[in-house]
Amino acid sequence: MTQPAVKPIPDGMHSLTPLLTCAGAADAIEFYTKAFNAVEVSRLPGPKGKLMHAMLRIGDSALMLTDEFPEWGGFGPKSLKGSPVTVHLYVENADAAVEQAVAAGARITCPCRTCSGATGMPSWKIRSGTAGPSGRTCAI
Amino acid sequence: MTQPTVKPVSDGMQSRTPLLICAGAADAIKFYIRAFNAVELSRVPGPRGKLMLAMLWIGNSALMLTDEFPEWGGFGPKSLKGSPVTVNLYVENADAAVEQAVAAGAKITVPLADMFWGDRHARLEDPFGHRWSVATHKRDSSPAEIREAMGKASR
Repeated sequence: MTQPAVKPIPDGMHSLTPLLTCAGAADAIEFYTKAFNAVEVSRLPGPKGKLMHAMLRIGDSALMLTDEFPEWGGFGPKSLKGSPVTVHLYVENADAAVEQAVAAGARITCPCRTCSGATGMPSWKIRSGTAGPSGRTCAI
Repeated sequence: MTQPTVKPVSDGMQSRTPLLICAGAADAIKFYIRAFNAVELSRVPGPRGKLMLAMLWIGNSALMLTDEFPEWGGFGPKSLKGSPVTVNLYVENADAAVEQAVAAGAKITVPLADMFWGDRHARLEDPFGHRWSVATHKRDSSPAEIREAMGKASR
């Protein structure tokens, strides 16, 4: 009997997926659900009530979260006092998305404006930096 | 005359795309090409020879880069002494991909192994301090099987 074929890249996963370290990953799931209409797919509990891993979907994309585990060198942006990564979120309506994220507790770091062509991307693009309560920087 | 229709989400773009701040973004483009077969799509030059933005493709995904701009609060992982983000790269052959990335200058932080959640997986740090996991899916497991396997792995 042959084994059923396993796909080396699981269905629905892209080549690249960010994994965000959040102090309070369970709270982060709630926030991303409210702010960005994330849908929780799975969570894997770890020691001390923390989450080893959580899988969310935002739009057509996966987003992974994990709690801070300082013992393994896993620190969130609040501990590092910043993040060298911005997650860029493309939506149909950036104004509405920013409003929703701010209502959920995100902080605007760069006001909503049209970056016409400045990014080299040919589309209508409105970009706004928001920092969530977990300290993550997002661009919409 | 009507304007041509513009798609609110550009063709090929996914809902979310990581933008990595790299001290030396032009060098980072070279590295990601050698390490991960990235393809350079565009670059937007900024002041003092820095890059405001570069757009790359890796597999089916976009990856954006920018230089450090401390004056706007933009610091890379070396300046922050760490990163809260790991970018997972799914590939057909993790062994070959890790070998290629290491040959290009990536450092292994967690060696390649068959992990309890069903992926063959390694963790790398690139020369700019960004963290990557490189994985090939080997085995489908239910969430309950993954929890049980994690219990065994941590004993």
